[in-house]
Amino acid sequence: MPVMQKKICLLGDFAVGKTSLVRRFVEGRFDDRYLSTIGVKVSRFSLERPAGDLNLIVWDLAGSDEYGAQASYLRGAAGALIVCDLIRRETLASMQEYAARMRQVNPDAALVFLGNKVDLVLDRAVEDAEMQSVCSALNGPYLLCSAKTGERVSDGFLMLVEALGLVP
Amino acid sequence: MTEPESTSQLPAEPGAESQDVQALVDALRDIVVRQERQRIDALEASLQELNAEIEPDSLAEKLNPVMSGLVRQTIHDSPDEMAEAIGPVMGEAIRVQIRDSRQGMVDAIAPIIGATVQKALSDFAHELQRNIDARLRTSFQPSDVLRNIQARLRGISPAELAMRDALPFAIQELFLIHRESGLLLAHLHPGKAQVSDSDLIGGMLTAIRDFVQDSFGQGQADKELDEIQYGEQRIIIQGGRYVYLAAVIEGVETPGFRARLRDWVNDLYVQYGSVLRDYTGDPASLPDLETRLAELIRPAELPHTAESPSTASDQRSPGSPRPLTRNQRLAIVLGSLGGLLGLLLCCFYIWFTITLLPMAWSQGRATLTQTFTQVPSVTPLPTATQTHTPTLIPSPSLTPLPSATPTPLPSATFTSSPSPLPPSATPAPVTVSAIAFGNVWLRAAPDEMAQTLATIPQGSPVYVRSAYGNWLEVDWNNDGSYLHGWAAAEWFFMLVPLPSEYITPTAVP
Repeated sequence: MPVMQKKICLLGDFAVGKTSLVRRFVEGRFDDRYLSTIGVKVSRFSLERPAGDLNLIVWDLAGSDEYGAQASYLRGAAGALIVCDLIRRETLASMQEYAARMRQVNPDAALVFLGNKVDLVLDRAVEDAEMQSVCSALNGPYLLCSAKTGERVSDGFLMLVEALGLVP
Repeated sequence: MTEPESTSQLPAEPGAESQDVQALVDALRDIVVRQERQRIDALEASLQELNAEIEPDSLAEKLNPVMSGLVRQTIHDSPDEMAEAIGPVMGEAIRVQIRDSRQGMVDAIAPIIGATVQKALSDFAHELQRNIDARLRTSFQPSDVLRNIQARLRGISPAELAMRDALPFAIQELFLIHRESGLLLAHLHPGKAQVSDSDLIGGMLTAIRDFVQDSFGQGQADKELDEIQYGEQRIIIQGGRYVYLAAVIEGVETPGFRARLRDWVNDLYVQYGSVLRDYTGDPASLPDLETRLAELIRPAELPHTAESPSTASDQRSPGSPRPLTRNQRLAIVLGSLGGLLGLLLCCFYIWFTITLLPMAWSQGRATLTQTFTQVPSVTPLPTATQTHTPTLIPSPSLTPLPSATPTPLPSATFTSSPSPLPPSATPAPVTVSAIAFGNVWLRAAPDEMAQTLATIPQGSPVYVRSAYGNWLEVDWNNDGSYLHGWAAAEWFFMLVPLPSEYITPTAVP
């Protein structure tokens, strides 16, 4: 049976944990050094569904202005995971900028917001209420997860699949 | 002040007492320090023994078996870690060795490199030989003529062009990728049994294209990355409106290969433009692109280790000549039409000639027949008779000359002679005939300045009486009346060779 494909982007500030988020759950053959070379690394998140297999082609974009702002990398994306660091408050504000860039290039793109490093409870700088407020304003669901422990990371991808209108 | 006083109170026994004290101190010291000294002596002895053992030679001798065993055990237990540990050292050691003793390293690795290179060259030569042989075995085809012309136009020999064409060329992989999203639409890999992550390769290739265009193309949409080369392989990228095609090839691409890719992408756009534009990742919305993609691969372009692709269109055997391109087919059609036209012209010319020949020959033959029948009556022609009658020749100097005398006659002889014929043309009329293949002046004497008697039309038969230099003495039947005179020999085709006795050599050109 043919496999459905969707391109999704992984956006967020530098060191919010994007690459760590996908490292456990995606298949890929390219080294992380591609991120620093051309600003992107492509991986795949495969999902078996009753309606047919689904491949999410994940474009992990470098979290810097030098590369991340390239609109060409965002073209053709069906959705995006936008990540912030729960122990760095400034990354929450950056989520709004990434969401705006994404919707500028792909107006119909589905967005899911992830708050990473939820395991660092004592260092946490972003409260749930703030996260909920920002994500509501950006019109997208959010999820708190931990790349370190793996907590709810795959749920983030499944939530995006659902936001794409595809039954997981 | 008290102590000096006490000292001064014992002036009588200072030496003995101090000696006793000293002896007592020594004895006491000996008792206290003896054990320590013995220990120090023992330690010194041990140290000397150790120093003796630490000598490089003896130390290496002692450690060698230990170290060897340790390294061997480590390599056995964890080879990866060992390789990782000594890898940098080995690399640096090799660099140092190459720097310090390049020739030695060359001598050391020459057998390995030489054999490797020799094998590679042998494989290449064998492959080239196989391709050339396959080409030579093919029969002559019109395309060969075109290729020869093409080679000449390029300034190379056909053999060089054939050798260039015989160089191995193979399509390893074909990727059809959605231009905007980088999603893989179709993939063909005739060169490999199993290929993984082709969808990721499609994504990264798109990212690289975007990166190059953003970085070096300065946002100009018409400038795109169209080729990537790595080693012996290249990725030829043919962009389209909604998709682009990436062909991983090896070797020298055949002429027209890129045009074929371009045409293929354009055709795809024409047929499925709207489908490709609206593609959102659902494969059900796409046509069977892999079958279409297989049309791009010709048998001669299959990798040599590959199995035949699952295409129904590939029926030719490897090594067979490639089908002609559109331009070649057009050139062949035009060439054929030109050849056909030339053939028609030739046929027309032959027909025309054959048609006109009886007309020319009928006239000539009639004349000849008439000539033979009139030969007896020609004999008494006054002209011939006069030439044989010495009395009619007023010039006494010419009289004694024999009729067949090859003596060159001065031109003044003819001008001064009242007879239009030179005395040397004394032989009787002969049956030798010729045909004029041009309009020729008939003159009274063999001289361009002589009087013009008439014009012999092209194709007219004449009777050749004699030859003088480049002139022929002829009789021409002009509508029943014979004209006699001289005409330039170069305008006549001799039907019968003129006997030598009728030729008067000329010393003066």
